[in-house]
Amino acid sequence: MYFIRICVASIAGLLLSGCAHNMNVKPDIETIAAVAPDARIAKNVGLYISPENRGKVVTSAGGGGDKVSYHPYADMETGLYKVLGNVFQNVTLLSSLSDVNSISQHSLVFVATPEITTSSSSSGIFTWPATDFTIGISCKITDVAGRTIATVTSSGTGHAESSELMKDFSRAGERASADALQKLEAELLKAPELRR
Amino acid sequence: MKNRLMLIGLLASSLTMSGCSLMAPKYSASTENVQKLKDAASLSVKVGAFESTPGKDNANPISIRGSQLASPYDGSYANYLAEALRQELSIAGKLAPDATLEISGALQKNDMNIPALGNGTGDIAARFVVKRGGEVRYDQIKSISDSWESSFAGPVAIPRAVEHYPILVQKLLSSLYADPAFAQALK
Repeated sequence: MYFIRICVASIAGLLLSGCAHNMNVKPDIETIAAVAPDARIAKNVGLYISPENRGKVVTSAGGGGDKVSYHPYADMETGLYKVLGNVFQNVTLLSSLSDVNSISQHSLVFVATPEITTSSSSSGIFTWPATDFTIGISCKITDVAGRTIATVTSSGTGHAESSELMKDFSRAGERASADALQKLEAELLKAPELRR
Repeated sequence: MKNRLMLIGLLASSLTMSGCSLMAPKYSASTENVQKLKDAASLSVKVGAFESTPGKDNANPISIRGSQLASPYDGSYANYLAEALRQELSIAGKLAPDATLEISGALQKNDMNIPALGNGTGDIAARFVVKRGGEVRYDQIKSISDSWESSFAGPVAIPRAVEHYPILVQKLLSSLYADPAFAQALK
């Protein structure tokens, strides 16, 4: 009898546990437009994302009182790499801010360190996916000695209807990250400090 | 007593298994792979045909706890591998449809397993061939095995396995890019 109670309690626990639902904010990188060669910044840049940020899990509001969780840095890393590769002559992934080998081997002039902020909400009462997402990127650009040259920011939004979320729980987040990255690319191209 | 045990058994099996059709997530390029590729390849390449070698370990669709996991690329996991390679070459700036160098291959092993107890496991292997004109510059089989934390509960274990499929492909390609002979073939 005791064994049966334990089994029932375990199953109920599994069914009723109020955990955050996993989703992602991976952008469709095909939506990040290429930049004409003569509009590019003729300098090489390194992209640095710390191991802590790469592993960071963020939990924010979903629908019906539930929450959603995702890895913003890991999900957006490839998009950030593509944006920097489009804007600058070349981009290199750095393993640390003092990755001297990569800095000299690839003749880096700048190091880009992004910070990502997110918020979400949902108009759905009975479903957990978020229908609206906002993603902010603040990209600090320093020289290789660590002096700040510019901080370029962008903010993207994404909305998805409930019918779309039935096929892809992450649609609103994916749209917000693509929007934020497209805007970041445009802002980087406009920053005069990066061309001096 | 017997009825109660049967009920518990039914509840437990409904938790551990759920028979439905699922789609694997589309491939998302790994930045580390792109960097490795950029450092390794000095020439541009095109991606040729990728085939699937029939075999009991080369599943399509992949069966996970009674659910069927299909490829989002025309239902073909060989196409999945080709698309993954294409994406990473493209971001690395090394993809050129008119290149004389071509990478082709064949998927030989492709399976995942999520037992009720213990970790989920995945195995994937493929033959990769680099040719210039008719000359074979590289011809090797790469394989990886990976494991991840799973769960007794199907609603937890199945999504974790589905999300892990692109990671298996990333790791397979990482092993290819790290091979000095592959880098040499792209120079």
